[in-house]
Amino acid sequence: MDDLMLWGRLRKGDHGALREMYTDHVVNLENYARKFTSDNVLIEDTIHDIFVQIWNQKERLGNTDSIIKYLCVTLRREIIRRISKAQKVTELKNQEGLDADFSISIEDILISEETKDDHHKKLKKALDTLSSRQREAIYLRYYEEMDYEEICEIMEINYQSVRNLISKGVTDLRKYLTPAIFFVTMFF
Amino acid sequence: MENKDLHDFKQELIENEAFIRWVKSDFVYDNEHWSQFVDDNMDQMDDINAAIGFVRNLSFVEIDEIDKDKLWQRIDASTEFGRSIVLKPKERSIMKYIIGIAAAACLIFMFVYRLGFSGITDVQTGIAQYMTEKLPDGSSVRMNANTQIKYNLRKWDTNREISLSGLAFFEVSKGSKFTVITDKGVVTVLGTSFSVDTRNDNFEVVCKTGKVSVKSSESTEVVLNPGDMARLNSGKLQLESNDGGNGHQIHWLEGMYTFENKTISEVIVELESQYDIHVKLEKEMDKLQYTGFFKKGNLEEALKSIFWPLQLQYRIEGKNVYITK
Repeated sequence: MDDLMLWGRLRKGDHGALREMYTDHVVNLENYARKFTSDNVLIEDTIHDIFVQIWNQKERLGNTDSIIKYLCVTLRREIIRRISKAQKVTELKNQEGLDADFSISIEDILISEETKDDHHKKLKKALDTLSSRQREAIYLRYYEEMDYEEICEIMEINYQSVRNLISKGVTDLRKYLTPAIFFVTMFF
Repeated sequence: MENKDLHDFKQELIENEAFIRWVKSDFVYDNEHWSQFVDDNMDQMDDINAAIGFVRNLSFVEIDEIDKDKLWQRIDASTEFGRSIVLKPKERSIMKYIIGIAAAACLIFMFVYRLGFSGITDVQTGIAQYMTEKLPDGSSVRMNANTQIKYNLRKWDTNREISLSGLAFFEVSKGSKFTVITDKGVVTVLGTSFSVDTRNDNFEVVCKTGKVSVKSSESTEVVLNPGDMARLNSGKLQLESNDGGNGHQIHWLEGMYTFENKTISEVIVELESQYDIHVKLEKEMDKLQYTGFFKKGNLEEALKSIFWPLQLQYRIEGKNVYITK
């Protein structure tokens, strides 16, 4: 509902609404973009262009129930497009075609003390064995806390594919990310 | 949690979005439900703990390298054009022309939108605009000026849920649960008619027929019978019951706007959204209180019925109305 109102204000030309959207989501956008590229200039330019584009097309925008979802979809398309273009130019095609690789490094994950020593290497290996799309789906699920349907829209794949990506990915990661910490017992 | 055969208990939890949200919120979000869940599944405690451990451990480091202020300044500089400016009042004929274009644009937009991927229908009215939206199940929404509704056309059969900001009257066909979501509270009915007002920071629900359940964001709940009104008053939902009298009427359906001990500014906000005008008060007039009503349709009469009892004069100049002593 808040998103709906903010979006409405933006469409009426309220520049403050654009500012609010930026403040609310820029960190998430930076983090999402960073999984595709480490190039700060590219990230900045893309985020800049997205907000300018939203502003310039505000009268023609459809409605959205989730601004972060809208921003993620746009950011993803735009950043993949730019990376692919750059790859074409330098003829550094990656093996998965022109799709940009979504990478999560071991440093991206907050690892508890228990996990650190035992599983560090194994976890790194597990992350590496995941496909780019698995990593991305898992990231959206466990960092952005999006639901399956939102992830479908952002990654532009169907519901069952998202379920499979996450399910499979989680099974692989589970072996290395389940220290026995008895959180729940603390509540009783 | 579907696909029971393919997933074990632990995995189901790990993939459950409500569960993720509960863990990520440090066991705050929907804790009542999940505490109960834990109680009910004491025998699976190890799996629950492992699932919690997994979700907690799969947390991502937040990187904050980009200078956010600097980037905003860039965006700010690139978006100088198109900021909304207050339009100076023009001749009526020109305004009509503009409203015509706006209405046409609105129709085109609605049409395009209905064909969109998401199935979300979004309908909005502007100043002095009324619109009745027919919902797929035959229910209808009479929207007052400056009102917006949104619902999912595709999911309507299974999910009669509509979000509202503004003022609207709902006539709901009998069927499954019908829910109106606003930012201040939620109204739930089965089949009935009622109005919801969220303007000017209000949250007022008046029940005309049937039974209506109103729940505020603070999760107090009241049930309304015909003629009852629920009103959010300093954060608390209050029931103003019918009292066996005529009950609360939804006057605006008859084009009548009634006020009881409202400040003149509140009355003017309503007046300006029903007539496309700007009212200019003199100093300190805005503290005056008003009890009475005005009607839609005739501006002069409306002005007379508001300002005559307050012993004030009005003068219409184009789209401006000046109030003097």
